[in-house]
Order: sequence, then C-alpha cells, then structure tokens
Amino acid sequence: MDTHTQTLIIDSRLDATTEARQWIGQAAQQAGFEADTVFNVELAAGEALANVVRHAYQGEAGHEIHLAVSIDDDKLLLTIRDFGRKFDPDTYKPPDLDSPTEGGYGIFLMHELMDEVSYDTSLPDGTLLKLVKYRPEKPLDG
Amino acid sequence: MEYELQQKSDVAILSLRGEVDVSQATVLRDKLLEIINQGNGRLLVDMSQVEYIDSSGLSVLVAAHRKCQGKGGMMGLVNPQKPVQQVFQLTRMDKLFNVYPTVEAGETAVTGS
Repeated sequence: MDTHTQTLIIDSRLDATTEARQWIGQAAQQAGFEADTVFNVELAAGEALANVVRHAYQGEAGHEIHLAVSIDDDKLLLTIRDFGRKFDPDTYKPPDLDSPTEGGYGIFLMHELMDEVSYDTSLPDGTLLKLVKYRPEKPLDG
Repeated sequence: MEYELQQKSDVAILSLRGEVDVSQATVLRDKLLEIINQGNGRLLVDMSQVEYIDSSGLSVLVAAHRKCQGKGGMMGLVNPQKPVQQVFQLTRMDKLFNVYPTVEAGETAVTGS
C-alpha cells in the first residue's frame, strides 16, 4: 500500500475541531482501522486540536490549523501544525488519577491512546505535533 | 448533542444523545447546573446514546457530580457505551462516577428508594 495523505485546514474555533476530528476518524475508518482504534484516534486528535485552540491561539478564532493524515500499511500519522504560542512539553504534568480533577486530561489521553506523540517547536513559529497509531501486527502464516 | 429532561418529584433524568465534546461542553455544563440548582441534587444522566466523550465532557460530569454531592444529593450515570466506558477507565473516573445499567437501577440508588 502506498502512503495516502489527506490535508485539511481549519479555523481556530472549537466547533471546527469537531469537523476535523470526524474527518480524521473517517480517514482511519476508510483505511481499515478497527472501530475501537478509530474512536481512539478521533479522541486523541480532538484533544490535540482543542489544546491548539485554547493554548496556542488562546481561544482566538481567525487563525489557521493545518492537519495532514498519512496512512500506509504500517501506521496512521497525524500532524497538526499551528502558528501560535509554542507548546512547552516541560510544563506538562500528568494528572493524579487517584485525585480526580475537572481538567488536565487532554494530553494524558493523547499519550494513552496513540503509540507515539512528539512535538517540534524548532519551527519559526508555532508547533508541529505528530501523533502515530500503528496497525496491529498481522499473525504469521503457519 | 441533543438532550431530553424528565423531571420527577425526587430525581431529574437527563438523557443525552450524540457526541459530548469540547464544542458542546459549555451547553451541557449550563444545563446540568440549571437542573442541579433548581432541584434536590439527585440526578441521573442517561449515557446510553452517547457515542463520544472527550476530556471537556468528562470535566463537566465531574463538576456536576461534585455539585450534586454538595447539595447532599447524588449523580448517577446510566449505561455508558463501551468507548465511553473506556475513557472513564483510562482516567479512572470509573472509580468516581456511580454507574448503573438501567435508569430504574439508577433511580433506586440515587433516591434511596
């Protein structure tokens, strides 16, 4: 299977993130990922996009968020590029799961649901987030 | 997300349908607060037709859960779908929330009848 890449640009509004995560979910579904995995990828994407709107763009509409989904035989790669305030991974503290709070679970869920999460803040502006989900390994014929 | 409220004498039952995500969280938060403030803090949220929930939706449920407790009442969640249950388990919210398989079981628990 060759790598198939789709791209989307949305505005930095929370309602636009719904459209975007559903678009990602459809791409995963069409590429043959199982329903549970499609849900997980959508949820991770939704959390990432909400964070971009709230933190990179501080809730301000009118800014671009660039998405790309690349799918091949091995994996789904989602990249989310913003041009706002850079994310500092060192500021992230995972929630204390034994003391439930009303917030702070977005990044935690991204890490739990995806196989790889990485941030590139070396760009002139903003952040490039990469989320990877691998396809399950196929059983060996025997 | 759509919702339907059934107000009984001793419990409010809010049935949700669709997706509870960041774009809907404020609407749900406002509705839950209105119900809790106007009632006795005994609330059931029927999740059986909720197909998706994110951390914003979780946040709203946690706040409502605590608000009900603050009024001396109790909030129960009814029959969440498997993907939603998974989110509860990942975040250990399954240890916080009172979850029931049916509305009837939830009513009995929440009203103490």
